[in-house]
Amino acid sequence: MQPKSIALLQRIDTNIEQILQKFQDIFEVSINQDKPKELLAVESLTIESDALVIIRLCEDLLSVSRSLKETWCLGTLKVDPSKKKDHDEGTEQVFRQFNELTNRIAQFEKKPFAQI
Amino acid sequence: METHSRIPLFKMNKLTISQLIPRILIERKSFLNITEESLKEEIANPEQESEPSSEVPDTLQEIDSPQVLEDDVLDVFQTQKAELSKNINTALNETSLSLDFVSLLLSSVKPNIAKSTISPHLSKSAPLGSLNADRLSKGEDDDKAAHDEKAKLSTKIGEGWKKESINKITTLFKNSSTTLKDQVLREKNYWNMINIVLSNDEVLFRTRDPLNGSRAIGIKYGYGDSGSNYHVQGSAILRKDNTTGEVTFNPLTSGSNRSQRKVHKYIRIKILSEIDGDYMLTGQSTFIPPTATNSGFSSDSPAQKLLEEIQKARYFLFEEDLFYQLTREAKTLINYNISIISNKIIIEINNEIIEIESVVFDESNEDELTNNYQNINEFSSMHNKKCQLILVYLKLMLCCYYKYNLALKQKIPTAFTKKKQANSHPLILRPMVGNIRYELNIQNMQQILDKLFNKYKKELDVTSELEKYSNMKADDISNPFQKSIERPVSNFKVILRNHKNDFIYKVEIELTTNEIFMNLIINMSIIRFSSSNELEKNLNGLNVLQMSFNDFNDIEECLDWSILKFVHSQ
Repeated sequence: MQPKSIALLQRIDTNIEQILQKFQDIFEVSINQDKPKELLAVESLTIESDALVIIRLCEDLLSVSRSLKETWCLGTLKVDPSKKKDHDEGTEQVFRQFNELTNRIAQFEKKPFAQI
Repeated sequence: METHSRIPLFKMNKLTISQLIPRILIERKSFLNITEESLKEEIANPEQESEPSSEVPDTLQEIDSPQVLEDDVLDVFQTQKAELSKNINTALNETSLSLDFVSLLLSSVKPNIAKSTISPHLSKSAPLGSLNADRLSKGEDDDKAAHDEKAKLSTKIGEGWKKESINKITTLFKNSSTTLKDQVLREKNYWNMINIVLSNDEVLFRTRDPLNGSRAIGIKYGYGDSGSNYHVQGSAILRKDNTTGEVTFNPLTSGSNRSQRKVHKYIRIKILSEIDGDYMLTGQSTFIPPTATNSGFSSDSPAQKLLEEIQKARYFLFEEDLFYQLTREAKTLINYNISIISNKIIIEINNEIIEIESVVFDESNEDELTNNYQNINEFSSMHNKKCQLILVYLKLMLCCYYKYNLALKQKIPTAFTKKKQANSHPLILRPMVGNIRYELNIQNMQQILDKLFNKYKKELDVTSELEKYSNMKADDISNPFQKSIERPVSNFKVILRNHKNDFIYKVEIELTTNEIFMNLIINMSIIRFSSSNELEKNLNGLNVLQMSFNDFNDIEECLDWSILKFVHSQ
């Protein structure tokens, strides 16, 4: 595997792990038994910051998918073997048709007044 | 000066003006209220002087009092200054010590922050984290109930706080989930369209939007990679609509007219024929719209529209390029009755005028595009087909030129190929006009020969044959467009037999052009044989004449003269 894809996979893994971890943290912090007031205040703020981190990580996952798509679309070279035609084939036909075209252009038709 | 009598004279003399004036100012406050009388009075009884100066501070009084020397004042000032700076130093020291202490206290909880703030001295003498602190509670038994009560209260408050936070994050989650969902939808839309464009075999690349510098995907719809060297490169930005995620096609124009909408132009061919001394329109090409690629979408879906737009941009870029190359070529051909007037190339040839015109594309004006009005009778539209063919021919030749350029680009760069690249010029108009002229030339030559043969048909036996395009054989084709790249060669072979003495003239006329297709070159050779037997064996031939001509009159005269000689030869 390319180093880039390994890095991407790692990023996805760590992101998901952190999301789960932060979610768990929120619940752990929610317990308030025999805790001093100061700690409770800090904990309630921790809940909010954890939530923000989760949202940010989700957005990051979206950007991972975006960069994946970009790499798929732009980073690859398309070579369609079925579309590649044999060049020699048809040359003669093109030659004939082209000469015919040139001749038809080069020839002058009969003078118009001769037709009328 | 006398006013300062209380300052000893020896001192006074030492003071400079700059020292003296401030001193006077300190003593007298201001010169404003000094009058001659008051000064005289003052001199008269100097003893009163000490009275008003008693109000000034001690230090000044010391200065004022004539007993204290100037040196003492300076000493006092110096000592006091030293004392002040000492005090400041002590205060600074105390502060840093106390900060150090705080750092040490912190070091057990936040070692990193403490490490960066603690002084090296303290960190040496006391290890990090060796100092700790805790909150002291009263811990008395009789307060237990009150303490419990307090703890319960704080738990309740905590519950409130946390409920609040959880409510807050719930709405936060809700909101961001909807925005994320929207975003995902937009992304899906965007990438779907990009994918459609990609599967239509377009070239995409990463770029930055020149409008706002954001990342964007560009599309190269021009012919730059296919060998075109036209200055418009044909790149566009596939811009994402931020509300729906739909992709819009925005061609990039170089230069200043970025905002200006592009005017599409296409090429129209007209043929005018001379009828009764007047030139009348006898043919006109029609506009063939770019064939839309069928992507399997309904015709009004945004994806289909996008593909059509790309197709259209490419089509008009090609037309533009073609006209540019045609004018490039035409301006060197003014000697051959080809002129350029504004956006028209006019070719005059054999009582006909071929006009190649760059016309502004107007979608609404369907009449002009299909030239309905013109096809009123057979006569005015008899050259329509030919116009169309000429257009096809020109386009084919431009492709041919692209191919040539591309082949040059792919070669290993040497000084020679580079020079070729720099000087590569299109071969579009010249082969077309050249072939028309050539065809005329062959006819003319044939007419001349026929005329001469008629003139001498009593004296001579004539067999003549014409081999057209003898250099173009179908069995060895390296380039299918050979006919428009290589100059044409045609051979007339004429055998003349004199009735009188059976002598034979073999006349070979080679009709060709120069490299640029336009000039006429005729090579003629005449060989005399004394019998048909010798002719067959190609024996004992006698070279009579070998000449080149550029003009039909010359060759006619020459041939006439030679044949006349031959007829009367013994």
